[in-house]
Amino acid sequence: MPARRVFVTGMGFLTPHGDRAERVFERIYRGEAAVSFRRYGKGALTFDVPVAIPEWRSDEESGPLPRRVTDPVAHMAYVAARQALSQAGLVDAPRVLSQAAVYMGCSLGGARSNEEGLSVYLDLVAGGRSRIRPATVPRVMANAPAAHISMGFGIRGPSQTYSVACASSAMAIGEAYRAVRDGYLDCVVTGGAEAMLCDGTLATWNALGVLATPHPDGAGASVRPFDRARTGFAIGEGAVVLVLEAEGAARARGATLLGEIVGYGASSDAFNLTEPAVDGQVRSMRAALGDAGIGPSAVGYVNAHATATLAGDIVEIRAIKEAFGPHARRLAVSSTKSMHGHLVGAAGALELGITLLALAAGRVPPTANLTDPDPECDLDCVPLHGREVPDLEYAISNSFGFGGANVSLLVRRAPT
Amino acid sequence: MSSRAKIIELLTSEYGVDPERISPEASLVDLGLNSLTMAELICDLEESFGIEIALAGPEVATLEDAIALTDRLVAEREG
Repeated sequence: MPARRVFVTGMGFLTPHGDRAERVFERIYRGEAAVSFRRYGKGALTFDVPVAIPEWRSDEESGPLPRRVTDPVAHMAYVAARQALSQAGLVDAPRVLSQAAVYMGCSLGGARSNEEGLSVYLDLVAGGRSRIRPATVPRVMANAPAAHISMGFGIRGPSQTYSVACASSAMAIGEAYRAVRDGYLDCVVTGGAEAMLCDGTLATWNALGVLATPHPDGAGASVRPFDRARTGFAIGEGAVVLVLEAEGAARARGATLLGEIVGYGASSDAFNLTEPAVDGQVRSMRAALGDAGIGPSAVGYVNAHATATLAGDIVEIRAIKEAFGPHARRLAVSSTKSMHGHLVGAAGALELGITLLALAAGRVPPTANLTDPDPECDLDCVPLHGREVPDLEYAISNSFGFGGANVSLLVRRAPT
Repeated sequence: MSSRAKIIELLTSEYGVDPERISPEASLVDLGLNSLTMAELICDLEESFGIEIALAGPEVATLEDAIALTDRLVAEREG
């Protein structure tokens, strides 16, 4: 079967900038950071960390399964999927959904449920009399978000979960795109979910030394990618889900085309568990360009992985220069993590969603807080203010994960 | 709050049970619970009422069974 074109026909957002696509993009285009410092921990261990908390009404939104067996990570995934399927016009389309698949990304699974289970365990070890909740395991498992989506909407094709650290949902979307392009599936519900804003998990992130420190101008100024004064990122949580459809299926039912996925590149550094490498990132971007069959000069925007760590941002800028050659100087490169934080397993899905909205609007979102660029980050990193780029046609979203896993997704503006 | 009211509140808020289907003799399985959610409900009863329910204890098949067991264990605890 010849390769088929793959379109995005629905998008669902549950993010620190809210749960409506237009509003999410408007706030990010304006450079509005949704980062705050909150106190976590208890007893002898409390600490303040930068976080990006999703805006949604968890009490008003029900899931397909009882709350007692549902971690927030699965609940959020289901809510974002409902929004995406609703936009695609597929919520009540059993004929399509029974043949569809779910490809989700998730890094830590049900972190809150894991923590609850472990705290009861430690209490028991110390002679306490509480009981470990019987549903802990199914709440913790990383494929619960995909399972809840499958059950909630009657999606009966394969249900897959990619756990690739910060590249999880980008890889899920890339593999979903391939499955549709190559004719294995006509429709995939794909994206990512992550919910790790809880005491013990944040204590371990804090120990890793990658979280931003407070800034005199306030919490919103603390995450500063490409800036000389960058100190790291904020942990965010949320879920973003896309509906991908083969061109024929989407057009046959008159679906609105929101954007097109045209290239997917993935690579491994085979180098270091936490330290990024230029070579691997270059190969993932080149693979995405090669997959799409376009040259570097067709691309106008890169939504960078850029987590505002000292080493990471420089490595990515070097990789972009090598992958794009002289055209790198003409690219707009921004890190929206400066505003929505790092959603880890959902980061790739959120950033691809923002990239698709940027293409549709012909507007490139800025890197917030970039007031004093690092001389080693000397590309056009769209400091502070978003920019109108009406002829923007192709853009790349990068996601690079611990373990040396790199994913680049190349998307194209929807045909008009 | 009576044990009946508390258990009904748990079933509707945490176990997704439709309040209109609840009746004393309704079987918990018919209300949508399975072995896993039943075990969770036992934990909820223990935590909510400060009681301990033996895993090999009497079968709890209906809402009325749950209420009766809870009331009996609360009475035993209060001696």
